[in-house]
Amino acid sequence: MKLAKTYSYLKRDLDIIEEALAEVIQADHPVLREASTQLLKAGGKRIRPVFVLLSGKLGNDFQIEKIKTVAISLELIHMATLVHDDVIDDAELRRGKPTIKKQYGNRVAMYTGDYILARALENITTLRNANIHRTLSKTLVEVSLGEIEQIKDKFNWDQNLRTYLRRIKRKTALLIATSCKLGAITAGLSEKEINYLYQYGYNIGMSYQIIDDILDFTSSSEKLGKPAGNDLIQGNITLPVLLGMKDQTFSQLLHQTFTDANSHVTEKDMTQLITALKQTDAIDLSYKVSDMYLNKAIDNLNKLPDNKSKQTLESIAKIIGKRTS
Amino acid sequence: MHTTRSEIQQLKILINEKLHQTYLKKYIQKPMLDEDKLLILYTIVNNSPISSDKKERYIITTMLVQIALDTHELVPDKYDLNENSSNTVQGQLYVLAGDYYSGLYYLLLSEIEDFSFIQTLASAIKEINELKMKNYYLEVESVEEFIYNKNYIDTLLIIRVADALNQKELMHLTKEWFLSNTLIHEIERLDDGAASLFENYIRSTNADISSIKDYCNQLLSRQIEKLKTNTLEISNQHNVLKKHIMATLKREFE
Repeated sequence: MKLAKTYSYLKRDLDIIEEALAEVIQADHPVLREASTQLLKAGGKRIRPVFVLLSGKLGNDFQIEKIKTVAISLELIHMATLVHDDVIDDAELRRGKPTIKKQYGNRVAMYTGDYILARALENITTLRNANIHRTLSKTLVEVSLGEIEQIKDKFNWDQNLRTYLRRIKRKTALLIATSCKLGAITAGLSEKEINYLYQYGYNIGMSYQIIDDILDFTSSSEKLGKPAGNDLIQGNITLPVLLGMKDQTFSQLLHQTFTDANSHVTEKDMTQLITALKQTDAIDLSYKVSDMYLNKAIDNLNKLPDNKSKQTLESIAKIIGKRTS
Repeated sequence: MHTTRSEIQQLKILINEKLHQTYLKKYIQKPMLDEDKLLILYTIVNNSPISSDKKERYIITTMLVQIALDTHELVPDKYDLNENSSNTVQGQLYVLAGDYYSGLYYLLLSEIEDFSFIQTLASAIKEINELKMKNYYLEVESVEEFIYNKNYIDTLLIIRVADALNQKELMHLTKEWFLSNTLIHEIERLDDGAASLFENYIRSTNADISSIKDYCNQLLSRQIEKLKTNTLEISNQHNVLKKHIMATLKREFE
């Protein structure tokens, strides 16, 4: 089953959010407007708004206006991060389409990211709930620190599993956990329930990123919209590589390929590395780590009262564990 | 009782503490803290009837936003990732440092639950980026419009804070003072043949450098007179600011 199908019944709410998102990024400057709209139209799974909606629907005080405000801001923050990430990575394509950086240059990409982030904060401050802002602002700072850590750890072959897990927590899991938490706060769930949902989101986020990191090696360039092994080419050492390095043959080949971090890694080099990685147990072990997080996510979900949203959150967890793109 | 100077010194220490991040410090230059902006911001905020804790937060967070925006201006137009040099890492970290400082301002204001000030700063950032686009694409009819637009970009954050705190008198002075500062700085650069604010403008409009210099000098003469008058007219409670501006003018022109 496809991810989007599990929450297809949320279409009406998601359409409301989509419409509001398009409205909120209507900048006065035509290029700024075009760049933001283009980014929005490129799609994406809108997974953060989905988590806000589903968590909100677990509460007794679900108000679409408030939920919409939270969902929009979280998606805008995610979008702003993507625009700036593409500047950092010098990325030309995102979801198979030219990035803002590629189309308009670094300067415009920086202005667009800053503009979108400002819109996100302008929008969410219409809600005067201290818990929302404390949570979201802490997350924003942590996400930035995570990105800084990622640069710091590039081509650092000595990093350990803990470093990797902390990095993906900041990079991906926190914003998903925060989406669940803010949806729950907005809909008036209890402290305990808010925490269960936060833990659910955190664990789902960890699993989601681990699977992403696995797919970087096991999926095709067509499906990924970027070359296979791209993370490694960029110097990002992810779970499969960390686990694969325990295998001597792979480890040797890896070090040979990257002896000089400035050397150009060819497509042939990467194909060889991926083949060698697949011959180790790293991919299987990575899936096991992902499953461990998924199980924790479901454990937290089980502590919540039964309803349709809870079932959907459970289905999402299962689909994430099996996704191939 | 603290003097203005020592309070400003203290604020500088606090801002630098907030900006401190070990890895960033290793790779990127220490963010520039515009002391003139800090002084006028201090004067504006200090003149408003809010608690001293709030005053401190307002000044620190506004300066963090200014530094975040300035840091993003340092992001290079191009990277060569294949080089993986310290220049590349530095460029990448300018992106992240700016984002980090932005997150900090939101965090510091969330801690005191000041949602309307978060909104004030966020709206200013939004407007500034709209204006930056206009100047980037040189959507101006004249060098005069270009300069005024640049001055607006430079001062908008402080103007919005002054507006939120109902300090209209100082809003006007901010614009006049920073316009003079920009002109002084740019004339120096044009004289030295250094990279100037007008570089893109000159390149794409084929404008004559000497005529731009003449125009800037004329505008500066007018500005100086306006600034002197405005400075003398502001209330005596802003004596430190008054003295500072007059001393700057004296240093530059006498």
